[in-house]
Amino acid sequence: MKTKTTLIFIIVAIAASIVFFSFNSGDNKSLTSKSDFDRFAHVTLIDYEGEAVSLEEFRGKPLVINSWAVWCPFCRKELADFATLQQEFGDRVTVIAIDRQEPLAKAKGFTDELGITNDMLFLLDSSDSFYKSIGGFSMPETIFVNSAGEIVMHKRGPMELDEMREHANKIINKENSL
Amino acid sequence: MVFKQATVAFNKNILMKTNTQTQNGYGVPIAIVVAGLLIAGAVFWTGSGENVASNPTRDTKGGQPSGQPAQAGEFRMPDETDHVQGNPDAPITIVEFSDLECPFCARIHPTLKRIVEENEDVKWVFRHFPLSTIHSRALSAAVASECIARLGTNDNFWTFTDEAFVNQRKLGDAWYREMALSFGIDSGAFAGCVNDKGVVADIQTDLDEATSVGGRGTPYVVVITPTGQLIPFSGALPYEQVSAVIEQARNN
Repeated sequence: MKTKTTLIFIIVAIAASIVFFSFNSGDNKSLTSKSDFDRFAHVTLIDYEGEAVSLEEFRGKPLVINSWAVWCPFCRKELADFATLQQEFGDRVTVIAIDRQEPLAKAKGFTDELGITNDMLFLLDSSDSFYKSIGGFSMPETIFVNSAGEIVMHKRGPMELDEMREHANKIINKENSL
Repeated sequence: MVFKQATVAFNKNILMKTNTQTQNGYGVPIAIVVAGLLIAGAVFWTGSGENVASNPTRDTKGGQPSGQPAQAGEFRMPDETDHVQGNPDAPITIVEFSDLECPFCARIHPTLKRIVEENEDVKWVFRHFPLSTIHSRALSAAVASECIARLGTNDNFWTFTDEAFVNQRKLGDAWYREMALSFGIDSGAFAGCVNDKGVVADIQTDLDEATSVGGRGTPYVVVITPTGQLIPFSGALPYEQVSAVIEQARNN
């Protein structure tokens, strides 16, 4: 009886060790090999036309992604500058503003008021997935991602247009910079 | 500019990833448990704040009702009317909008104290954000703290806030009087001060400022960088995260 118990204990201990080491050597390796972009590539959002847009579609492109909301005064103040940034940089950078959990009418109402609705891409995030995926805790938060999927700058808090330009220049090829 | 593109490739990618992840039979349940613990930890630490959204009406005649954007206001830079702790000439300022009855404010209080003690280049400003509809003694505690500052000293104010956060169950007139007496403040003068509507009005001003610059709950913190840029955050962030914000402010 005692031998049987010991045997079961040894088998359980070996099995636990195998599971532990496979978990640590396997899954962790795959996690650490992910690029910054992979942290939020899976996020699917809704555009102003109600169509689903996956951030995966933007893989390989220099991106400026801003988390904002109408309730956030700092966000409201800087939002129009992102539209200006998109106009200035054109196809070299894609600027996306992601509204956090507000209805279409509220978000679009504000961008319409500013007259920037068609100047850049506005997306709605009803589940707040993007903000969570970047570990957001401030408002606004903006990431500048290069074509390799690396977050070159993660800005917490609002910016002036000059700072946006400075970071945007860092994520595009030097020969193409302004 | 056309932004819409196909999402089919992405969906396939997700399926492939899911298949890969399920190859390790034991890894998945363990990963779920570990992920659950991590998520619980993250929620505990970063989601830890009290939201004005839980106040259906304006509190203290203040507090922005849920869903209504605050009127955007200019952030008031610290001045001589503020309660300041730490090096007064520090280039980085933590402005905290706080509620003395809020448990999350109690949690971040020692964190901010430690940050200021450890960093000569950081000072701490305390402003009031009493959420009266969910904290019945928040306003009276704020008033008492203001009277202690006015009739006593800046140090007395900060000692009162320290004590209030560790004795939140004791908050009430008797405890306020006891604290005022311990600072050598005349009881008659203190009683007169706490009934002064001007003190309440000043607290209301703090509260209105908090909501106008994006505060939706407590604690609400705005870090001012040496160049005057603002880094706001909500909730009782852990020490490491607040340190990271200070470092960003330093490098700004």
